[in-house]
Amino acid sequence: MGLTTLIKVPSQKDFYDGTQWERKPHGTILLGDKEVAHTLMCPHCGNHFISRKGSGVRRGFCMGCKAVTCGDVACGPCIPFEKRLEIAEEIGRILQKG
Amino acid sequence: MARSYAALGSVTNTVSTTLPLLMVMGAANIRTKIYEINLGTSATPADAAARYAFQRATTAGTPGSSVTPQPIDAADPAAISTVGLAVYTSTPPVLTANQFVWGESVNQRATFRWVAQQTKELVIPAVANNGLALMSQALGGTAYAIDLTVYFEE
Repeated sequence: MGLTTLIKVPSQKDFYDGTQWERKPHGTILLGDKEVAHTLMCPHCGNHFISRKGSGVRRGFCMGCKAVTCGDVACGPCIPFEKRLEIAEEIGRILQKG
Repeated sequence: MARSYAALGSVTNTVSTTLPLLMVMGAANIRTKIYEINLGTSATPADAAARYAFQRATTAGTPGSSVTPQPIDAADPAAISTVGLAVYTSTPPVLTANQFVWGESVNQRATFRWVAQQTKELVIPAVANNGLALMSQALGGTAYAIDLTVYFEE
C-alpha cells in the first residue's frame, strides 16, 4: 500500500474536505496561503499520509515508536525508519565494496 | 548544520508509471532530505485534477535536462545531490515497486505546497544511486506544464 489515494466525491468541496486535523502534524499542505490538510509520517517506512474520517483505510499504532503507522503489512513489526535507513546504507556499503 | 537547496523546473505532467517528472538523487556520503514541495502552473486556468507521488528509485536514468540545485544560503557550496528533469527519453530510472513515500492529488487551479516538520522529511538513504522520483500518476484531461520547486537539505 503505502499510498493514500484521495478521491473527490460530489459532496466534497475539495480533495481535502473531511481530512483529519492533526494535533501534532508531520507535514502541512497549503493551497495558496490557506492550511488545508495535515500529513503524518509513518515511523516505520517514512511514508507521509493524510487521515480522512470514514475513508475505511486501516492504520496502525506502534507502541514502541508511540506513533500512528501507515497500516501497510510491512510496517507491522517495529523497525523504526532510522533503523531501516541504517540497514539500507549498510547493504549499500557492502555492495560498493564488492 | 544541514545545508538547504532549491531545485525548480517546468515540465509537462504526462502520466507515466516509468518516466518521472523530476528526480532527486542522493549520494553515498550524505542523506538527502526533501522538506518542501511546491506545485503550480502558469498554463491557462482549468479544472484539471492530477495526482503526483514520490517513488523510491535505485538508478538515476538519463533525464531530459539536469537542474543545478541552488543553495538557499549563497555562502554554501554546490549540492552533492543531483536533480534531473524530464523528459526521460533513452534510459528511464529503475523505480522500486510500491515504495511511495508521498502522494497528493492537486487541482490545476490551486498552487499546492507541502511542508514537512523538522525530522519528518522525505529521506533518501546515504547509498549510491538512491533517489526519489516524482511521478505523475493520474490526470483528468490533457497534460499541461507544471512549475515545480523542491527544497531539500543535505
